[in-house]
Amino acid sequence: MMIGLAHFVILSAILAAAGIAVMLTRRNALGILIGVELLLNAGGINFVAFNRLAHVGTAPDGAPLMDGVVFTFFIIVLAAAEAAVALAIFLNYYNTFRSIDVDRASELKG
Amino acid sequence: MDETILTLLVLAMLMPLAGTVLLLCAGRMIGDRAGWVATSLLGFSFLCCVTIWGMWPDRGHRVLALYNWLPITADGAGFLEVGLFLDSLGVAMMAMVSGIAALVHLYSIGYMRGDPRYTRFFAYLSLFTFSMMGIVISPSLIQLLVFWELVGLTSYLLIGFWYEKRAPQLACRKAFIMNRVGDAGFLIGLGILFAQLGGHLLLPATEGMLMADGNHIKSMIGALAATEAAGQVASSHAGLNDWLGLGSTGWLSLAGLGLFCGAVGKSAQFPLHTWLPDAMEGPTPVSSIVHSATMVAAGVFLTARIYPILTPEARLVIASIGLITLVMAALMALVMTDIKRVLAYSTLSQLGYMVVALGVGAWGYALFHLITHAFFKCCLFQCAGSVIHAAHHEQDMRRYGGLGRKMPWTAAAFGICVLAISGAAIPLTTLGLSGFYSKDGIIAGAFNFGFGISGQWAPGWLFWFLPLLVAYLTPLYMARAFALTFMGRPRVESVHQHAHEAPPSMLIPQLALAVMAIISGWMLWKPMIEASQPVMQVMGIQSFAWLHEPGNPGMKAAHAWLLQGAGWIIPLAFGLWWYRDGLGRASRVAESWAVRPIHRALLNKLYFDVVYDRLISGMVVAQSRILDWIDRRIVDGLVNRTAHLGSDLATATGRFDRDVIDRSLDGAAESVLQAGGVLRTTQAGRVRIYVLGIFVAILLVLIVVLASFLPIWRASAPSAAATGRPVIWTFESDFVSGHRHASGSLGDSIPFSAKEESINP
Amino acid sequence: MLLLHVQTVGSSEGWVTLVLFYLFAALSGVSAWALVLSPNIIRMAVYLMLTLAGVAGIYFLLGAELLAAVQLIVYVGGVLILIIFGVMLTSRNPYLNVAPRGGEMALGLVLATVLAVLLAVAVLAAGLPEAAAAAPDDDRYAVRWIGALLLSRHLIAFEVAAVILLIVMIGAGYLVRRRIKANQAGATEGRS
Repeated sequence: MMIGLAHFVILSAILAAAGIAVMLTRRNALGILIGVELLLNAGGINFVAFNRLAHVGTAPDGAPLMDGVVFTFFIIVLAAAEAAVALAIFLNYYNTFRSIDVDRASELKG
Repeated sequence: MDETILTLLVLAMLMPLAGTVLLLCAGRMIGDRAGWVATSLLGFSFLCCVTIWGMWPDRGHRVLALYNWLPITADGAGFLEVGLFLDSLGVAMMAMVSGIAALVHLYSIGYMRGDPRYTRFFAYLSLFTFSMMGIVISPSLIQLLVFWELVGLTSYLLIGFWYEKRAPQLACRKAFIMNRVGDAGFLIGLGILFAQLGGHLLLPATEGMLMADGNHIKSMIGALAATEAAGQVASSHAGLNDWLGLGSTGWLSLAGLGLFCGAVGKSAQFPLHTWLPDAMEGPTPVSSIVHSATMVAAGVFLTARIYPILTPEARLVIASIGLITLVMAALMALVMTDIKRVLAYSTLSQLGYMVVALGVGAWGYALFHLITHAFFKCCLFQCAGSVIHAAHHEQDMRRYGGLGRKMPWTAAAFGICVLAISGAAIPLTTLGLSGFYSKDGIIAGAFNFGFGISGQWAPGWLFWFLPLLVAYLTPLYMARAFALTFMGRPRVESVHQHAHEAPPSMLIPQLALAVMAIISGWMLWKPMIEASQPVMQVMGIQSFAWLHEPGNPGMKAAHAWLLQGAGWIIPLAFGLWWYRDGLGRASRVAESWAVRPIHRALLNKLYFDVVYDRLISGMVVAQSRILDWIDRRIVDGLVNRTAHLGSDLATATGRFDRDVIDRSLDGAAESVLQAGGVLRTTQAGRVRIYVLGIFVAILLVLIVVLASFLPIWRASAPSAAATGRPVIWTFESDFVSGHRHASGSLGDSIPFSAKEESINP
Repeated sequence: MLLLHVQTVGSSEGWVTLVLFYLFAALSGVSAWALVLSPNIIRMAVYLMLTLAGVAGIYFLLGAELLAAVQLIVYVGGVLILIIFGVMLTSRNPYLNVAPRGGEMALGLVLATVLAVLLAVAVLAAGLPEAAAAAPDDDRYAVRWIGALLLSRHLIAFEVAAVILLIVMIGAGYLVRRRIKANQAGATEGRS
């Protein structure tokens, strides 16, 4: 049996489902952040796999088609940025509420 | 040669920037010396610019540095370009900007002394200068836009420099917003140019878009025509073109007018002019530089730069806008009593002259007037600043009077500039102050244009009559300002008593500018007119002659109507006599029944602010009303109805429960409470509930998509046998190339593959 | 390891790749679901690390070596450390129990399983190609191409990302600075 695109995509689906499950079940803000990271990784796998297995070729200017790989770079960059900002927000939030339970972050509710 | 010029230009550009960085970073260390540091840097910059002018070999242009910044077309041929570019116009502008900026810096040393944010003021002022220089040397419209916005930003900072007070806060916001309105047009124009020229000809200097070099512009317009002839423009925008009835020239007109919108904002033309008088709330040195060398000059400069793409229709619109501004502002300047406001409206009016000149084809005279006007208007503002300073921040001219004896030098400088702006000349000769040279040219151009157009279009005579009329109004309102301020008896003793001559650091720049106001016209007319020749040739505008050349109908008419150079004397003398001891006579006239409504309207700035206020806030209020109505009637109604239903239900249930089984009451109430709690959580700001919502939505979409795989749907799909696979849907991917039509199964239609075979032709 | 390059994916002698794929896939997939079920936040972080490492291995298999390295350095080295910092800074007890309530857990698991199954069905139904169209040649995928592309075709995205990072740096610093200030103010109040 050979490895095809479907393998990677299904692995990505498993990771995405796990990420969503974590986001749904954890009340701790850091837990939710971990879920988001899982989702982002699932997306990254898809990008790279589609790029390398279905988007092979060369652009008119001679460069190989590497858009998926480059996008994944940006995903990693944004994930790092997101983690940093999220942590700063959590620290502030913790400072105010002495907890990072997201269910308590409902001051603005109607 | 080019290397030397490049070095000098870079130095001239970097000096003000270095000043900004230095003052912002090490401001505390520099302290009170900040003014001198910034001024000397600007002085050095001015020296560099003058040296470049001295070295400037011919009237050509040169691209001193050019860098392909970002590729913007798919084939990699089009680039956003940044670099340094100079032509004769740019050289003159650089010298003017740096010179005036240096003098304004010098003046600010005295004017801003003791201000708590002294250092920061100079940092902003230097940045302002740097941005304007950036506009002048931009080789592409994109780079120009960057510096354009930088000018907008720094003007915002400077106008609102005294942000503790309410009025400057509002004024700087107004300036910024008015400019945004114009800049929207700028961006639209840029977009049209980009789309129509396919990105290849988007304004790089090498394509000649922005240059005063005829051949390149011709080639560009030729390329445009060729594109149209080949049907490329027509095919790519066929629908839109047919609908709008625009050919490539129509688009070009629109693009030119769009870009001109940006100029309308920056140069404060009708209808976006209202910010300029309010910008008076900034410190006076800021007014003096905004009104002369930088901000308002940017708009006229932009219009001059894009001149080759302006079609005759676009130029007619431009001339009309300029005409409206010209007359309206001159009339308002005649009734204002705040000295800075009078000068502000006079600036508006003079800018109107420049825009009219651009509209009627007197390109060189527009820029010439821009430069001469910069000198005398800067001087006028500095004198006004000195007067305000001496009069303890009293700005109302009705409370001045007789200040000439207390501050003779300032009065002299102001007087010279009044003569210059009036276009004073020695009658029957062609010797005059700077305003005479530039304004006569504009009026002559207006005559040529007006004569040409009045044959085809009835109101065409306005194009020469109104500039001429304002040429007679200008000396009148300037004489009024001079007489009210410096002549007659002091009207308020407290103002007059402590008035004193300005300190040397303020007086020297005033006098230097006054000298320039005298000689700059005589000195500059020849280079400026020569610099404009290539543009005139390209545009196919009849290159009308200079004052000395007899026989030009426009020039002849202008001379005749301006009484051979004596036209300025009558209104000036009348103004000085009429206002010699205050506004008494004038107000009696103003109160007469015939003049009164006009006077009132002019005093209220023709209600532009009121109308804008009503219009904008009216729109916002109307929108809020609609939303409010929706909220009250629909949303609240729904909620209330649900609540009523719930409560009715609960009452019924309760009654039933109470009547039947007492114990189940608790259970029902509990369940209602729980249901309420469940519903509440949907709007309770709980992140995870939102996640759940998104997730369930994704699942639903997925299920709907997957349901299309079910056999029951396959039967209805057409041509399932063609590929051997069930056809789920058919789609046309003509958004890609316009000719690729594909149909196939879901597997085929996912466009992940770069291979063409997977898509049936 | 370097020999096991992506050109073996899909080729007939690709059993090593096959084994490696299942190894990495199992590592990340199992860790991800262990993460879902784990009640302890520190354990969650460790499982996340394993998942990320597995994903890095997948990237490596796909021939994106640089990406794999960046994944390890930035994610495992940076983001994970940030998360653990977050755990330590925001909980008095690092072995914080974050076990979800039973009902929530059941709901989450059911929904996630439904999603995974549906996605798998969709993927299989879409008939994705079995293997790579061609064995990519090494040189084209060298790191230098990524650099070149980042600075040419993707330059705007690259610069925007740079600006975002700058903003994040300033923003995070600002947020935390205010917190420290507030703490100091509280401390001085407490003392006086």
